[in-house]
Amino acid sequence: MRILVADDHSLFRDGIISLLEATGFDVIGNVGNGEDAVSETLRLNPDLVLLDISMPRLTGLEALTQIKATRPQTKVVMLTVADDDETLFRAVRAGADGFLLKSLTSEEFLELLEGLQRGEAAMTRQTTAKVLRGFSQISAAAEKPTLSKREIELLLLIADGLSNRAIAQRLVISLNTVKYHVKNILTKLDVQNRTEAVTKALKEGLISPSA
Amino acid sequence: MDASVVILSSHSLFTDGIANRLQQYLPQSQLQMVNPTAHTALRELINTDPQIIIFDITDTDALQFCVSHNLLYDLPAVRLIALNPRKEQIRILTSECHPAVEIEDLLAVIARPLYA
Repeated sequence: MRILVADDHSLFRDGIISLLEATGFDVIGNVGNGEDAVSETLRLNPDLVLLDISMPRLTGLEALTQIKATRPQTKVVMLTVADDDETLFRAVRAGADGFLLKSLTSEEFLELLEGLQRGEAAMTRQTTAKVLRGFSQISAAAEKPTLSKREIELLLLIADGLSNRAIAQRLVISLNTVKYHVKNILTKLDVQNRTEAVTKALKEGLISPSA
Repeated sequence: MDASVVILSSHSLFTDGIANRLQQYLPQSQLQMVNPTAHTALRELINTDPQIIIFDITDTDALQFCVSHNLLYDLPAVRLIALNPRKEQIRILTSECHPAVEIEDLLAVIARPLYA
């Protein structure tokens, strides 16, 4: 595997190159900033770029985006000192093939790079679990039912115990319009009756319990 | 270079990388790795009596080991070199030992220029 190492910390870069070479990896280049990481990727066409997140001129995330836009087949593994979820999710969304903390042991690091050669993502189990949790939260949020402003207004009145007729009077709309909104609310929330609708809306955070 | 060097490391990528690179410059007999979490670490270190101890200042195990065992007291001639993977910096901690019989001894040390 031909590797380009991009890290602005010279000692760290030198050490990691030494480890990679001792293990039999072919380090074809090394750079100290994000801009050079992009240009050297284009020039050398490595199989893998090890990219530090925090670098001058272009950050690791910016360099990742540019590399993936021009060389999508090049694998890019991000290296970082900080265990930061936001950066992790941004890197994964930008197409990173791995995300590794610099505090990893050298043994774990080399094993994960070998896994990358077999098509696995270069991530520890903890990081993978975080990514899965993050995506499941996003998908749960996407599946959350959405009610219109009027429907929420109506649901709050149902929660207060008002009948359809009372709601119609309160909102100055016809009884049929109230029935129409109630039917829509039940469908959107996928429930059978008004009580279930209120319970589910409270659970999903669509309405808050009145004081 | 004939200094005897110990790298205090829980085998992080950073310290293992540094150790690997130093092996190219120092004979194997002069370079030793000691894991600060091992229960034999202090005894190993005192037996080795190194001139230099290198550690990663962000490695809490290594840092705690240096502080809790007061290495500069046990090995007064040692030079502790703290490296930081977040900064391009080599921080050297050295030790000096002076007799302290009267307050004047302390005042004499306080009055000395820092970088004499």
